[in-house]
Amino acid sequence: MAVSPRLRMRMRVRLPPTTIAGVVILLTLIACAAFPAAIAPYDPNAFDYRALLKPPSWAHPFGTDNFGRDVLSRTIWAARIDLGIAVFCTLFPGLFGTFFGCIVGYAGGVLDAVFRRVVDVAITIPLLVLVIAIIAVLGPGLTNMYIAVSAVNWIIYARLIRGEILTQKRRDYAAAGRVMGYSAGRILFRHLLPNALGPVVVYWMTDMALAILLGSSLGYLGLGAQPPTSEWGVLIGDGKNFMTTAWWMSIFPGIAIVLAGTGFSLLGDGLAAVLRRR
Amino acid sequence: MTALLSVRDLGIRIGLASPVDGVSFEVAAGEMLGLVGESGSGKSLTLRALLQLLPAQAATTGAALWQGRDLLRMTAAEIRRVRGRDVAMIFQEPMTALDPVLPIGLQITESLDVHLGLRGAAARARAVQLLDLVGIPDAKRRLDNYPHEFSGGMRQRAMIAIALAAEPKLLLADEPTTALDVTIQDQILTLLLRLKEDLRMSVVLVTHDLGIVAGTCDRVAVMYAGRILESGSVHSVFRSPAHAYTLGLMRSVPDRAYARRPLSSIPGSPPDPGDMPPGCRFAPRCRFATAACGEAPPPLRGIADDHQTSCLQAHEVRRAAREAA
Repeated sequence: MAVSPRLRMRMRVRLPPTTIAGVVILLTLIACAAFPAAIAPYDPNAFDYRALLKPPSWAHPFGTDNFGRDVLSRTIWAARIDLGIAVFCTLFPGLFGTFFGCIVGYAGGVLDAVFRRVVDVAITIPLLVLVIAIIAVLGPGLTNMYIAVSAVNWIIYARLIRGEILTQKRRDYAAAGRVMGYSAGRILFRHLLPNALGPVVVYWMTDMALAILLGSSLGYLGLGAQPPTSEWGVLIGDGKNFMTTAWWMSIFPGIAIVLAGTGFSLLGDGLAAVLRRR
Repeated sequence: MTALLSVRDLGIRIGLASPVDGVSFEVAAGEMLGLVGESGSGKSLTLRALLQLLPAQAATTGAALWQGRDLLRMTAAEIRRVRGRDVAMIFQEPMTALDPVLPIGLQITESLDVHLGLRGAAARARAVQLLDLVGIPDAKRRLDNYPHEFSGGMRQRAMIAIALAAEPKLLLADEPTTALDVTIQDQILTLLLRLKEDLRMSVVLVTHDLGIVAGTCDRVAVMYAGRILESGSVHSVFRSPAHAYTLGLMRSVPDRAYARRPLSSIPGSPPDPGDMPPGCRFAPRCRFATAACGEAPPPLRGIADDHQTSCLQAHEVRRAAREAA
């Protein structure tokens, strides 16, 4: 089948180099997360007492830690946990928050008024503090961290989409849908939601970066992933006592966090530009 | 003549104001009724009230009988079944009334799906037919276009195609050509006329343009300050207007025959909907007005076959119209 001119036109749309850079970074990290065993040169948890705290070398490009574990291998394996954090800390909030925000935005009234009060309260408390408070109740660990973050984070999505829906529902095509006798559900989810989704998708990218930072922070504090699990925040935490003598233990996982954050941000910017153009 | 839609004594109250008061008209099957009046005369509100599209704070009185049932008193579920299926509506702004993120074809097949349960290839084939019907060339390919790839006139055609999907018996057209170029206006009106004939559909055309009414409609109702002042067949009303306001409106339309002469306009401005004059609402601006005009609102009365006016001075007005002609 011949490629239609429309499709050809679409494919010719050039992605800006920054977006491509973001995609490349993320694909690299995803490859690490998907096949760590194939990429990592060593077992991430194997002790080697002949090579304790070795600086970066050809044998150990990122050096070794105080148990002789290869920092490169641990950083690669950590990508699996950290990308998991990026997804699991944002998936439920993103989906539920979007759904809930749609409902309150479209319905308005009492539901919306109550929601606005909840938002007012929630945004006065820093996210990290709120999450730590919940983890303090549930106990540390990855699963509890997901629960804690999800319990709080959906509010941000709901607030974002609510505002968008409020704008969209005043537009003529929403009225036209009512005139056509469409149900509220059809108007809301088939017409308003796709029009309102742009900012949410962009924020989702940013939020994945934030989630990695949050997960790392909690890992560093010992509230998220637990040692000996490789997680960038945990790795940085492990290295903090050796900062002056073995900087490589913390610096390389730190760079990985920066890379992941940059990747998501660049992709988010690219998506924002594409959505704006439409 | 049996009426398809019969509006009786329709009133709309928004807070203390009553922008529409005591409006009655009928629409027969296959007929095009023009509802004319200047901005703020309540013609758009009247149209919206029929489908319960007014804002929540507006209250309606009177009745709008549609196949023996009152549109104004239907439950939300009932009126939803009427909207789009029996009575469809198109708007002034075709630029924004289409969903920007869905292809035109999908928006037509959606209407087919909702109202007729038509899906898949059958729906697509019907969508092509509909686009053909409203005069969009190369309909098959155009189906996959997004609204932003259509011009204003094309979008209005697409809107009409969507509105026609369920083969409504009545089309409410709220200034459908006001936002379009004059040449496109003419095309859209010709299209509406053709569709009315081909589909045996009734149309209520709201406009402020007397020329459009004269060129397309069978009957006309002239609205002013929330009331119908004169109604009847286009032929009769335009030939011999029997209301001072209608006459004033017709005088203020530019005419080639009187080129390079100042346009006559109606002095004054329409009354505030919160503070209507007690008698004929046009009386304060009327040059024919007598003391009786200011006393009580004069009801519509028949003066000829299919011609009603509320003007107490109808006789004088008709004479003035004849003398001017």
